[in-house]
Amino acid sequence: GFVVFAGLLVGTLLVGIVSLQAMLAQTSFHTVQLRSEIGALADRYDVLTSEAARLSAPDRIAAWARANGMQQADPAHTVIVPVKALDGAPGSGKGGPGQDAALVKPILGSAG
Amino acid sequence: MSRPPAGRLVALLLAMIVGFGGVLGRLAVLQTRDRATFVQLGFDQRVRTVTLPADRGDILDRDREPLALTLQARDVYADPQLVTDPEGDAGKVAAVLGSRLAPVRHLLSSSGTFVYLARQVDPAVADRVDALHLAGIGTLPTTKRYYPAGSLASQVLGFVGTDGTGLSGLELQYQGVLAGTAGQRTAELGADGTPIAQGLDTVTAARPGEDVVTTLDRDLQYYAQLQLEAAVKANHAKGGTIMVIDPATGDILAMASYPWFDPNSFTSYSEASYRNRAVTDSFEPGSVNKVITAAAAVQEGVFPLDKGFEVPDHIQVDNYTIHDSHPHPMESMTLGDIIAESSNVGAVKVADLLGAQRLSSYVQRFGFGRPTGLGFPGETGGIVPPLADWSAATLATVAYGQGVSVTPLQMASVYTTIANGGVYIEPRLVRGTVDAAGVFHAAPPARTYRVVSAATASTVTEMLAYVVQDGTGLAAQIPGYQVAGKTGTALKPDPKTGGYYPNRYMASFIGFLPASQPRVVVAAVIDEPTTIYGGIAAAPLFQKVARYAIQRLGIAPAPPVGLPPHLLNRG
Repeated sequence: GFVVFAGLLVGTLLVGIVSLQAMLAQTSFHTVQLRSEIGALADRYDVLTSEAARLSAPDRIAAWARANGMQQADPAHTVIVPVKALDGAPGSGKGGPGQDAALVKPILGSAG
Repeated sequence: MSRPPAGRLVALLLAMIVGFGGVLGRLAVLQTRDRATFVQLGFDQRVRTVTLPADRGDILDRDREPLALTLQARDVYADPQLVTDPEGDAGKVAAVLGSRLAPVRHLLSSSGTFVYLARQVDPAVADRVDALHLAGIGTLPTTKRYYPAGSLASQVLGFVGTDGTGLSGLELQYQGVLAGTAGQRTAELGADGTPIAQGLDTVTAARPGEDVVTTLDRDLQYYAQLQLEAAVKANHAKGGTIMVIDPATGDILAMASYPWFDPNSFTSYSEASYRNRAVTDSFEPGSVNKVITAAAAVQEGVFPLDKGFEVPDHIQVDNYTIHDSHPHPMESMTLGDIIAESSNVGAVKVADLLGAQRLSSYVQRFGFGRPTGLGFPGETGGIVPPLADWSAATLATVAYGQGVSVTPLQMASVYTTIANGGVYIEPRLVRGTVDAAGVFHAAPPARTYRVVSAATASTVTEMLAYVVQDGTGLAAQIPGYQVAGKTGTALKPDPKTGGYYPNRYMASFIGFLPASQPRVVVAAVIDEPTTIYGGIAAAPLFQKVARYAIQRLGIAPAPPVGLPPHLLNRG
C-alpha cells in the first residue's frame, strides 16, 4: 500500500514538474515571439515617421506645387491704417466704424 | 564432471573489477578535479552575450520637425568560400541590389571569407536578397541615418559614417548625446537559439540617444536656401552665405552656405561643400564693419554727432592711398552721413579721432578674434592684429573693415548686439535635448554681456536706418517696415602677393527689423558677385529673406526711429 502510494505521489510530482517546465518553455517561446513583434512594430513606426518627414519636406512640397501649376504667394503687404478721431483729429483712435471704413477702402484698393 | 577453472574466473573477476574501478575512478576525477572545467564548457556552449545597440537620437528643428532620423537597414554580405556559382549568383544579387555586375562578381570570386556586397540597404531589398536563398550570401541587421529634407541645413547637420558615428556638423558636435549607450543581453540559449526557460537571462538595457532640438526653423531655412541659390546664380557669384538670427535669444533660425550637399549621399559631393562657411571661413568684411567704428565713436563721445567732417574722396595714410568707392568732391559729412554713404575716408577720419587703443578694444568686445561660443566643429575665431602691431595704416583699414578677418557669424553677431540694445548674446544652434522618456531638457540660455550702452545702440540704429532709407542700402527697404542695416563691399585678399585681388569682392548686407523693436537679424554675404556691390548683390537677398521672416514669425510693424544728424542733401 505504501509503495503504491509513494509511487503515485512521485509520479504526480514528476508529471507536475514536467508540465511546469513545458509551460515555462512555451512562455519563453511566446516572449521571444512578442519581442520580435515589438521590434517589427518599432521598425514600422520608424519607417512611417521617416515617410511623414519625407512627405512634409519643404522642397518636396514646393516641387509638387510647381508641378501642379501653383505659384509662390506674393510677400505679404502691410497696410498702415490711419485712425481718425471723432473730432477729426488723426491718431486719437476714436473714429466710428463708418469713418474707419471710409479711410480703409481706398488704401486696400491701392494695395494690389 | 570436471570442476570449472577457478583461476580463470578469479582473473576475469579481477579484470572486471579493475575495468569498472577505472571507470569509477575516471568518473570521480571528472566530477571532482575536472568539474569546474566541464561546467564552464557547458556554460560557454549555452550562454550567449549579445550587444544591444542603442538607437541614435534624432535631430529636430525648433518645432520638432525631423531633420535627421535613424532607419533600420541591412548589410548584404557573402562568404566567397561557400558561394557555389559566383558568376550566376553575382548576376542575381546585382540585379536585386541595382549594382553593377563586375564588382559583385569580383567580390564573390575573391579569396576571403567575408565581404560586404552592399551596406545599409533598405530592408525590403535585403528581404529579396534573402529570398534568393543563395549559399554563402546573407544579410545582417544594421541602421542607416536618413535626412528627409535632403540638402536642407546640410552643413549645420553634418553627416555620419557607415558605423553611425558623427563625422561633421551637429552629428559630430553632439555625438555623445545622440549616440546613447549600448546595452547587453546575456542568455542561455538552446541549440535553435531559443532562450532556455529558467535559464540565465540578464539584460542591461541600451540607453537610447537623446534627440537634439535645434534652433532652426525648417521652413525659414528652406526659403533662405532657395533665395541664396537664386542670388548666387543671378549675380554669377562663386557662392554665398545666409543667416537669420533672433536677437533676443541668439537663436539661429536659418544658416546655410552655397554650394551645399545632400547628406544622404555626401560622398557624391566635394568636401568643400561640407563646410559651414558661416563659421568655418573668415573674410575681410569691408564696410559692414563700420558699425563698430560708429558704435565706438558714439559710446566714447569723441565728437558731437552733428559735427561735420570734411571728407574728400581719397586720403593718404602712411604709404597708402585710401579711396571712397566713387569719386566725389570734398563734402561735409556727419557720422550719420559717413555711415549712410559708406565713406571709407570718413571712417578713417573718425578712427583717427578714436585712436587705435579704443578701436581695438571695441573690435574685441564685439567678439572678433575668438570663436563665438557656438562650439561648432571647425569654427574659427578669425584674425585680428594685436594692438601692439597696429600701425596708422592698420587703424585706417580696420575702420572700414579691411585688415581684419571675421566669419559671417561673427559679423552678424555685431548687428545682433546693436539690435539687442548693445548687449552681446552668444549665438546658439541647439535649444535642448529630448530624452527617451520624451522629457525636454532646455539648453542653458545664451551667455550675454554688455558691449555698448542702450543709448549708443539706439543712436547707431538710427544711422543704420538712414543707410537703408537714403544711403547705400535702398534695395533692402521693405514696405511698411523700417529696416536698419549696412552694406559691405570688400576686396578679397590675395595670399600670393599679400595684397588684394583687383577685381574680386565679398558683397554683404547685414541688418535687422523692425529698427525700433528688432525681432530678426538677417546677414547675406555673396562671394565674388559680378555685380560687385553689397547694395546690389546682397541687399535684395536680405530683403527677400527678411520679408519671408516677417510672415513666418508674425512680425508686426513698429514705430520708426528718427534719423541721425546729417548734412548731405539727398533730395
